[in-house]
Amino acid sequence: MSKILLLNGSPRGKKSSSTALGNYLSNLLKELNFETKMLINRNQIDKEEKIKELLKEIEESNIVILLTPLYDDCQPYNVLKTQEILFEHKMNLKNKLFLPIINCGFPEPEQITEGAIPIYKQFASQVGFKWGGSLSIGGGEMLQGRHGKQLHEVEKVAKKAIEELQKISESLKAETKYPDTELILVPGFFYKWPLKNLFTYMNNIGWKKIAEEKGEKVDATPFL
Amino acid sequence: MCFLSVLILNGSPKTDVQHNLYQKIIEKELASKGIPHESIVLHSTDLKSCIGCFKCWDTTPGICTGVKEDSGNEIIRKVIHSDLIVFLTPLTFGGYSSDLKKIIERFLPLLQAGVNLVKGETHHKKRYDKYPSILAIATTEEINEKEIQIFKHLIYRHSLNFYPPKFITEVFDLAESKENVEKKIKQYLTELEVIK
Repeated sequence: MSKILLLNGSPRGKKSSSTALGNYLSNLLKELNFETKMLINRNQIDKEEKIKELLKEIEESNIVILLTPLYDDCQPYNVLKTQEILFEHKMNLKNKLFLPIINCGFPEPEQITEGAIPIYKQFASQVGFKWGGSLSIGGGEMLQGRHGKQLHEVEKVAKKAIEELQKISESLKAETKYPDTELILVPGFFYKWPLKNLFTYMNNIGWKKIAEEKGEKVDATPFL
Repeated sequence: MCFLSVLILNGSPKTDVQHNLYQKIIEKELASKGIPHESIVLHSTDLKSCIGCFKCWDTTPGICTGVKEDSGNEIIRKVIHSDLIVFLTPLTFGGYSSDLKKIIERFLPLLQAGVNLVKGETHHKKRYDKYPSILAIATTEEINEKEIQIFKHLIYRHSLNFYPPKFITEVFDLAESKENVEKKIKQYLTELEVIK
């Protein structure tokens, strides 16, 4: 039986869209008789014993699926630190499949594929992982993982993401190639001009309101 | 035009002394022109990583209050008051080192919650009127054109969200002579209008 490590790179930890995606995928994979384990990566990089545990889990897995947000056009710090650790340890990762699932707050998945995916590919090639395809999800905040929601609780918004997770699990089972895939969660009519301007406006109003409810000004300039 | 100050963010790992040489070359050039500057060797600070809580956007706008007891706010205050920031990093899979990435993530309070549309693509909103220019310098033991292009594009993407008036990206081969590095750095500081 193949073992799959779901490495959760969200700096938020359990309350995140990466967790929601990982939990859903884990259930799909278990139904296909894969053994799965999820690790919250941020908890594995500071102490020697935790690093050893992480390396052991990777060593014992046939497939590593990284679930992580996009931070400043690339990997979050904790994921990058793990990548450096793997590189330094010169582990034998040959024949292990690496498949990143990345979500981004911005609605455009190109913001992931332009910067982060080439970096992940370089990483995979330099440490010896076999590239297993990738899923880049624009508008990951819509999954409301930050508020602890699971995908089945936001089924309508998550429909397209769920379909892709099904494709990933099926391709892993069939041992066929999953392609590098871009996914837009924002409904198509909102994604194009002029409604994209309206979407932007509504987003900004929403943030302003949240800050005002806390007695703050969203556009404060405290360092001036 | 003469810039007021330059902040060097040195993202070299603990074991690497090579980047101290680059830091010293830049410091020497700036000192020779009387330009105020400060260098921060990031691995020797108590900086912690961003936890994505968004408190810097909706609870204490502009100030990180999610990460406790570290120098994050102090460093980013210096960033926004600088006219040029210098990134120093070993080229790492075509991107930044983890030490440098840690502070770049902490720039988030310098931007505002919400988004702007730039050429049809959404990007962070400005919080301040003025942001520093960026000189991004990566070093590598082995020149790999693909990685260099990835790094240049990463800095370009970063510029879309951070609004530097100017930015320059360079990847140095660690075997490059000190004289060549000095010459290029002088050229970039001139192009960035730090020195005349």
